[in-house]
Amino acid sequence: MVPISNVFWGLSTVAVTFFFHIFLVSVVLGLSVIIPIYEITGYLKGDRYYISIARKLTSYLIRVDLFAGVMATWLTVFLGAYWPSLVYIATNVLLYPVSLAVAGIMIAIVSMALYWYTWDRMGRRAHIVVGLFMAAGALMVPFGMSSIISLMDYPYGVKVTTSLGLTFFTSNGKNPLMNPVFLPLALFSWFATIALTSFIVLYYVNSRAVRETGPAKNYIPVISAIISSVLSLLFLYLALSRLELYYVNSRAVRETGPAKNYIPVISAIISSVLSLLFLYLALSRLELYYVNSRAVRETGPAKNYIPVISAIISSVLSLLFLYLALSRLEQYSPYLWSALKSSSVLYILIALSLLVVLLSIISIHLKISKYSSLTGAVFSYFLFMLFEISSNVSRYPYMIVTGNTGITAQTFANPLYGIPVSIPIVGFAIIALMTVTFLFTLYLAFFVYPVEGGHHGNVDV
Amino acid sequence: MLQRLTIQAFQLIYLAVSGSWSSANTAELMTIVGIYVHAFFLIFAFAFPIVVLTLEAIGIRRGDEDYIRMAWNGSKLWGITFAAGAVTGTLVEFGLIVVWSGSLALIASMAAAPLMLELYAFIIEIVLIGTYLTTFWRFKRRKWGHLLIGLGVLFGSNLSAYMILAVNAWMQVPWGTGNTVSHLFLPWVPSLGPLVVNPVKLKLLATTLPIVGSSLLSSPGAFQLLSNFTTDPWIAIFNPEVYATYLHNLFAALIITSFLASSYFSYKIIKRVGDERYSWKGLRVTFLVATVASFLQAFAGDFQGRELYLYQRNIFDATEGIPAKGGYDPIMSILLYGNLNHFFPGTNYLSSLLPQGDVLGQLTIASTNTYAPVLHLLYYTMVISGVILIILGIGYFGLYSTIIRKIVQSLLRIREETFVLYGSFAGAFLSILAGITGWATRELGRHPWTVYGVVTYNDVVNSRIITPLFTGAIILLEIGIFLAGLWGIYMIFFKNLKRGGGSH
Repeated sequence: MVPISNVFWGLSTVAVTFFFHIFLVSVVLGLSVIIPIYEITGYLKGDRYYISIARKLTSYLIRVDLFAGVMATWLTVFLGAYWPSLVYIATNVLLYPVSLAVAGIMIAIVSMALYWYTWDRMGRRAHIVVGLFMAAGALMVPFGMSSIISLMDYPYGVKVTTSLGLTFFTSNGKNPLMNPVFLPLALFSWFATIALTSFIVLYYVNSRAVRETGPAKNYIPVISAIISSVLSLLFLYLALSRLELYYVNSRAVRETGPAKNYIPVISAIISSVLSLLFLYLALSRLELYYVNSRAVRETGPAKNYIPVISAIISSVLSLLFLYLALSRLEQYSPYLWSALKSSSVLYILIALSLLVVLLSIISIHLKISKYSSLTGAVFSYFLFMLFEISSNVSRYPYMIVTGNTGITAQTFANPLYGIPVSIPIVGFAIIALMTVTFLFTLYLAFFVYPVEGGHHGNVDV
Repeated sequence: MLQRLTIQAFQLIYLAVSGSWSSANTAELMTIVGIYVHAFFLIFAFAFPIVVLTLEAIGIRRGDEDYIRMAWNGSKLWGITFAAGAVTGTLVEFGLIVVWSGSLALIASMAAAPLMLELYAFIIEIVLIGTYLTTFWRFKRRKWGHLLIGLGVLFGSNLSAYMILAVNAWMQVPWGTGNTVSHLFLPWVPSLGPLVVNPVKLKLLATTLPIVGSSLLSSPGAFQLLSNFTTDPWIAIFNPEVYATYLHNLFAALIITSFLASSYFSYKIIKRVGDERYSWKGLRVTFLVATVASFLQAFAGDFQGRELYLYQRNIFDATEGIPAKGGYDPIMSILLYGNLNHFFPGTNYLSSLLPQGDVLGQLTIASTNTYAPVLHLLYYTMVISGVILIILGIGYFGLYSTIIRKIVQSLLRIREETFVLYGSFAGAFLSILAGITGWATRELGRHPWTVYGVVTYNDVVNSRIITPLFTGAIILLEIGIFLAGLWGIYMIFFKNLKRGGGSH
């Protein structure tokens, strides 16, 4: 018999640590991508402003990542202690995707530490390469980890057999990354987090800049940027739909012989190229708009097109992949879908996602961006957290959803003995205490003793 | 013996190349590399705070900013080594869960409490490292207050290490299982503490895993057959083996890190980089810390050896080189029994204790006999290195004692200062060698068991095939992280020196 306290505290500990973890790692992921863009732009334009912003953001990234990383370890150990069978099934079936995520963690953290400590101490190109490794590693982590969430939503690649009255879950040899729920979830995680971080960065750079006059009134580049963006999205949609068609076709004929129809692939390639072309046009138009804003060029905000463009692209893509993720859940995970639908969360998510896109677009306007960046940061954070929390909570009382039913949490809870309740309670108290200490340290680091260049990473001899 | 070692090495290479290795063999290879890479970085989090805080305390006490600056420079190492340590720690942790997935049964049972407490220690350590670094130089009046934050880091890192070592110690000596291990497979094992583990469930686990492997966990229902496993989830923390292991590892880490620090100062003095007086101050303190730790390590090593003799007799025989038919070992005899003539029965005697059909017991003896020459070599490499470290430590006092100075000068024909300068490098090398061989002895000696006398390696490895390609990729990544970490250390501590440095 499974001790009931293990179910309760198992869910509580995982919920609390998961909340803390994703709250922090969302910013880690976004910053890991945006920071190298700032640095590269700085070197390409020969402008120290971008490099200075990249450096300050890295200082924040390092501190947040340390705390977020600890929470990841907490989550893993709590999962192992309270839900051993679930972890076993996940790691057995998802050996390679989870290993990919682990490799991502390792690459990201080491690159991040090197990136920070070797600032100004190594060649420009080498430092940028380290930054790109940091971004790649950070992107690999949610990519691999989303396979676990996908498996819980739709156990693709799992063989369920019964022997001696016991049910066994093992791999059926299918690639878990082909789980139809997986890719939209992983990509939504990427773009939602990049969007929310873009808003935070935009707010940060806006608050640092002293704006004396308003922007120039030249809207032609903005209009052409919007048109290009729409066209880019249209071709992206075409490319994705063509690829999916090819995938479905090839799967359908796999048993009768190889598919010979390459037309969807060719049209997907053409659509992708066109999508990238229009994306490039959109980006160059937006940049032009800022450069045209001569009145504010010297004071900073004119250079803030990086977070604006990043917010627009990622919020639009997060809307797209949210839509795809929800439609896949409707198709493959009906229990989860109906739970989301009945609680109206579904509509809130879509509304929030649209609102975030809108806020990102109006952030093009310099005056408005001062307010829209903060609002965008709050709403996009809320969108990301709401999706993560609601999609996980909606599985209850099941841990793994199988169609309209599932396998209950109680089935997976540690049955060996009742883990002393004092352990999680002490854990929560320590989280609270250390969070306060951590926030106080951040306050000291950014407001009392801010990083302003210097050879922080080198020893004095 | 050399011939036998060579043959074994060729056998291993042949097995690896011919693809005859099992998943457990392949997985073990990546685990070995991962643990050593992790260990290299974690020792800086584990013991280096002692060096840093000693320097800071001296600086505050004497009002000498040089020492405080050394502490500041030393604490910068935490950033890079902590990052690399955390990364490789994550790797080891995931390796435990992903590659050795059957060990989830251990995590869910006896290791749950120590591992969860380790989490708390880990967060204390990491948050306080951030606070320590951020507030360095900021305490103008209450400098001891800053030291207090550093002590918090030390507390967190040591509590974390203790808890992890408690899990490892339980894998060596499964404390709380009473006579179950001796009744199950290994009759020479004495009673392992009070019986707080349900013997029926432990036996079920121990006998089921060899048949179904780690896939036992793939059925939540099957796992429920092990309910009511223990009545005392805290027992692993109070295992007598962990007391010895913790002290032994703490002093080992302290010796390595303080000798590395003294090597750094020696390097600067020899290369004439920076202020020589400043470097000598640092060298004296770090070498002294290494010396004190080396002396204390002798007692901790003795404590550890006694635990080995008491609880893992077959491994003791192998490490001490006791022949299978038994023999005499005067040093061990006098240490353990107070006389020179105690006869130590070898593994043949242990084998004679095995009941009919005890396949795992026979496998244990066979494994011990196979690895005996390697274990003996590794063990004595550690012991002899430790003895030389103590001699180096005594020689260090020549800086303060005329008698010792004269002995050093007459024996080695070098100046005392030269002895200390080059002794630092020797100390660093020997302490790392002792650390590597010591840990190898511990882990290799436990073959074929994951938990000594309860669960074997083959029982807990992931039921999916661990391919050589996968192993190779992970090992490459581990080596990459190791090199990246070293590169980071070089960039922070050495590149500046090459540029000519400058005065502090």
